[in-house]
Amino acid sequence: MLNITKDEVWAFWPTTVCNSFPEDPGNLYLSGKKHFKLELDFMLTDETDHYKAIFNILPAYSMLKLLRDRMIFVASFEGDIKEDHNLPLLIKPNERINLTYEFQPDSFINLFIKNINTGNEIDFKINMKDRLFKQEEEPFIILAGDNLPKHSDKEHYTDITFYEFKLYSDEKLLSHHTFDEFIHDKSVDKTDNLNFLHKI
Amino acid sequence: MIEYPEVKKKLDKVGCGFCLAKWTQVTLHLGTGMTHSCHHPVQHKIPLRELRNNPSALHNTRHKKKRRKQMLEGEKPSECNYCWNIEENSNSFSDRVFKSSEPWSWNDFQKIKQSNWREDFNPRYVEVSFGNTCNFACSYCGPQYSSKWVEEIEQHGGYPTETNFNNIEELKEINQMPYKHSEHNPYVDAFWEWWPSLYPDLHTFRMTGGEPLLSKDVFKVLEYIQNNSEINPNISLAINSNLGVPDKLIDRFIDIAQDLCDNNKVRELIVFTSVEATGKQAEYSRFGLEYEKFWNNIDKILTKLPRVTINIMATYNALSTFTYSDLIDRTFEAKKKHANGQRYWTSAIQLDTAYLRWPTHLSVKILPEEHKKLILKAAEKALYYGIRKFTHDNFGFSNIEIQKIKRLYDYAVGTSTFDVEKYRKEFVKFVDEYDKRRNLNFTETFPELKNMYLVAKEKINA
Repeated sequence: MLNITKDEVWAFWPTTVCNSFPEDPGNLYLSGKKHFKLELDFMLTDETDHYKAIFNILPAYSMLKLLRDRMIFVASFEGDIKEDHNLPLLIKPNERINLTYEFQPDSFINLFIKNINTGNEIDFKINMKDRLFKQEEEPFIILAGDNLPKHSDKEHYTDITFYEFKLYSDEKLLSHHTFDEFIHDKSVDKTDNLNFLHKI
Repeated sequence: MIEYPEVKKKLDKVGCGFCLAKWTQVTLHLGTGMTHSCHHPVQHKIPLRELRNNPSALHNTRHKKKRRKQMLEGEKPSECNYCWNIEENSNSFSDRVFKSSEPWSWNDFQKIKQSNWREDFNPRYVEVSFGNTCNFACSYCGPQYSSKWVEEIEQHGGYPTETNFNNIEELKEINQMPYKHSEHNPYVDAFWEWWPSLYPDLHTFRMTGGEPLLSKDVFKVLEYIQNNSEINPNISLAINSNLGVPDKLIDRFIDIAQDLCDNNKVRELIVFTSVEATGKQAEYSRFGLEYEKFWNNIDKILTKLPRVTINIMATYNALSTFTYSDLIDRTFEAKKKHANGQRYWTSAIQLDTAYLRWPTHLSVKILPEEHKKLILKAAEKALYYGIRKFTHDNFGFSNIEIQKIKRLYDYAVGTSTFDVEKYRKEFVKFVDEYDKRRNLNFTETFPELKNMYLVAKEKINA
């Protein structure tokens, strides 16, 4: 498992270390031009009720954040359009969560969240027909925060334990982490695709 | 610094073979009177007659000017095929792009692009070897660079390979036999004549060998800079060393280096050294090396000279494959231990991987495919050891260090006309003789290659 604390964030950004290796970087599938499916298994351990971010796909800005009494899913579209979608507060401290975020260009965004402890679910869809998701050349995911330390109010960072991270594109598993092997603050990708997660 | 894709685009606009290093960088082998720009093309002789009225002809030879003409006219000089191999076999950038991107190159891009190929150009990055005096006799080296090799060949002759490897008769015939330490060397004279006008323009000056710390001219340069630093306090100074010389020479160098660094007499000082394997396998390949002493000297230099960086130039060859991953571990440990935020370069120690082209019998191309995969594993390890961005403790392997290991793998597995069977036989002939002359045992040192060795040997005897 990976215990992230408020002092740090982790990123899924393999191209930040070497721009030509790995050969098929998983983060480039988050560009807004290709299908991807992100699966997260985690538990929020931060018991405070301040604003906190679970993840953010940058630089386009596609984020799940928690406020005192609700969750907000932020989606960004071409033309600098940012939409906030209010969702019931399903992610609560010390409860195990399975989250799936799937994006299909020209078709849909699907956010599925299941609270394993309570059995409650949210299945939220955005129709992408005739809409363009905001596209970026060098996308990456921030976990347990909303931005890089230099750009972020660190108060948005939070404590989360991650148990599993999976990223697919068109059924191909691009990156898989169960967080049992770390090298130099990087989680080793079990797929051998070198799509690591790393501490920032 | 300008980005590599942008550099490549601008170079290609002038010509697909255009590379600034043909002007800005030079290596001078004064012991043999040879030169090349950059270090990948085969060296050529500097005609003494060209030096009579122009000591800068140490760099601006007619041979080189003709290659500059080709580059400016959209041709790819064949002597630069190291880069053409990379560009044709992978998507990685070649050294043409890396070297042209360097500050000692890129600042002259416009000037060179608009220049006449006949013009002399004062290089910014100069490497000089004053002679071949060396206490090592590495497997991939030869008499041109090692007096130890000269001694061995004079005693036993060339190796019984097809090319009569390291035979000095051929060197004598083609006029490339190094001047002996005791002989008068007109190339060294030309260098000292050129030096006062060269020194003020230098961005980087690097001394190679032989073993530089065994050369009196090297210490003469160091002392000149100590005494004349006001002329060019921004010089970047570099020195090669095998880090296997007597302790008193290492200590003398460290004393001078402390003065140069502490009193801002140079912009930076970097020590280049070499190793491309670990332990006994490294000692076999780099004959004369004491592996642990080598690392002790690295530790001593990085501890006593907190602003100095060490660059390990790894000439990756068939004997590197089994321990290169360990070398990456050891290098990473040193990066971590000596990261201090005071150095000119981010990293205290760098691992710069190049593939060996000559002698061909030691190329990674002779290896079985399953061993080549170890190169990829090593590149993956370096990637995981990569520098973590956006943090203060930013030690680790850089983008370029990682790319160079990865592209070595691309080269190793790339398709080519390389005659594997032929060079495996040549390899066996070489190591048999090498073992005999030096009282070594190849198959004990490299059990991983025993099978390849025995199969090739059987074919020789068939």
